[in-house]
Amino acid sequence: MKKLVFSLCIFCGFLMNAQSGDSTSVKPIRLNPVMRINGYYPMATGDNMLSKSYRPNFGVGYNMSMVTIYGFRPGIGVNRASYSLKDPSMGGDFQNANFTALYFMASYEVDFGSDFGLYPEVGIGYAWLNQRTGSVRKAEMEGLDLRVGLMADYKFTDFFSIYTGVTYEATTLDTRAHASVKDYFSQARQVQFCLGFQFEAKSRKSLKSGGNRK
Amino acid sequence: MKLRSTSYGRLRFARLPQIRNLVLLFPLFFISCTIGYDGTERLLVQTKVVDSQGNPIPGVEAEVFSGRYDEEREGYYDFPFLSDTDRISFTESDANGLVKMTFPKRFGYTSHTVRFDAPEGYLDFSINGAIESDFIAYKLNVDEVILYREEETTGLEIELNQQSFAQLVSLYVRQSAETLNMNRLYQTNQFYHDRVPKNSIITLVYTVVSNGLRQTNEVQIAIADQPQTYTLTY
Repeated sequence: MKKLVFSLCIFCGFLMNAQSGDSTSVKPIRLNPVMRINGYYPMATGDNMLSKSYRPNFGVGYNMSMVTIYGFRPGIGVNRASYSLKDPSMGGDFQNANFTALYFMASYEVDFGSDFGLYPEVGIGYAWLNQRTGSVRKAEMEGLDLRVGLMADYKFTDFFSIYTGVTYEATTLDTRAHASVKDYFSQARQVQFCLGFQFEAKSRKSLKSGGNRK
Repeated sequence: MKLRSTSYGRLRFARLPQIRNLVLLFPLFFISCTIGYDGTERLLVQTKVVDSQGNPIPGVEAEVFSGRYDEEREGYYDFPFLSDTDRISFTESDANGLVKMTFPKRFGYTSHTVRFDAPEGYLDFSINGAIESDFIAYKLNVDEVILYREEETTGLEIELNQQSFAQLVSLYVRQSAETLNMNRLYQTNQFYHDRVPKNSIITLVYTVVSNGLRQTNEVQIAIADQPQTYTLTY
């Protein structure tokens, strides 16, 4: 464990040193911590349980990235949305549903040379759908989660941005059911409209001087 | 200020074991949260509610309850006497009399009751104690549910006449061969009773267990206009 921490420290130090050493050359890999927090409206679509049996309430999301690799930002994220029961006949008589996804993602910044930027992003992860009555977890489903999104941010300072965007999230949940209703439970589709804040630990000017922003 | 900082540091350090223990115990909160239903398995009830003439009946409230299943006595279904019964799903029949409900399977409760609250003038109907084998590929095999008017039915009592060591474990009425309308009879002492359509032939399906062997038999009973008693000898 100590060796691992020591190795990580050396690696981080190497990255930071590499960035500060020569600001005019292109650095394919840079330490560039970015953290995003957002609230979103999860609009479930399609003929499935989330869409037909529940109505969306509100969701919160968090994702972070530590490095930039050739302009791409790999990262991890989590989002959670709550739904309220609309039709108990198909989903079951459970008052709420919580949809949680944990995912790996990669985004790419398309910089227009101003305070405005665009970030297409893709992600893959695992999702859980919990049906609840009150605080009691009644039933749970889980499965593979895929996402694609487009974010736009406006930079107030070098370290702080506000961003908005849309994400399409497709989830395939493990289900055993009659063939006529299997897709109803195994598929979940959401279009999420988000608004959030982005914090960067490094000045954007210093990153731009690194030269690999488009 | 410096002293305060130091004492805070000591305090934090002193509490470290407790914090560590809390962190270690934290997963127990999740272990204690049991889930009542198997969300990955969804059962389907899809049927059509009609009257005795085959006309669809709209607006019939239908609901599904989970019940406890006694493996030793297959025929004993404790609904509606179960205290922790959960209503899992409910709906209403549409203009064509169609009812469609799905619900997750409840852990440890392998028996389900589907209740149809009939509109005024009709008798309620229940599919009591639908067990796993009644679901074919996760679907309850009931194509049609016939709701009768009070005047269209008569009483049927079944008196049990045990002449062997065989144990009666299941007993229900199937109203016709074409439509599997199960109406499992519930027990009051040694009698089973139900209302059945007048001037019809019903099928009594019963299962006995003798020397560990399970045997299901069917008896056809002609129903007249008047209440009647049938003695089931086994």
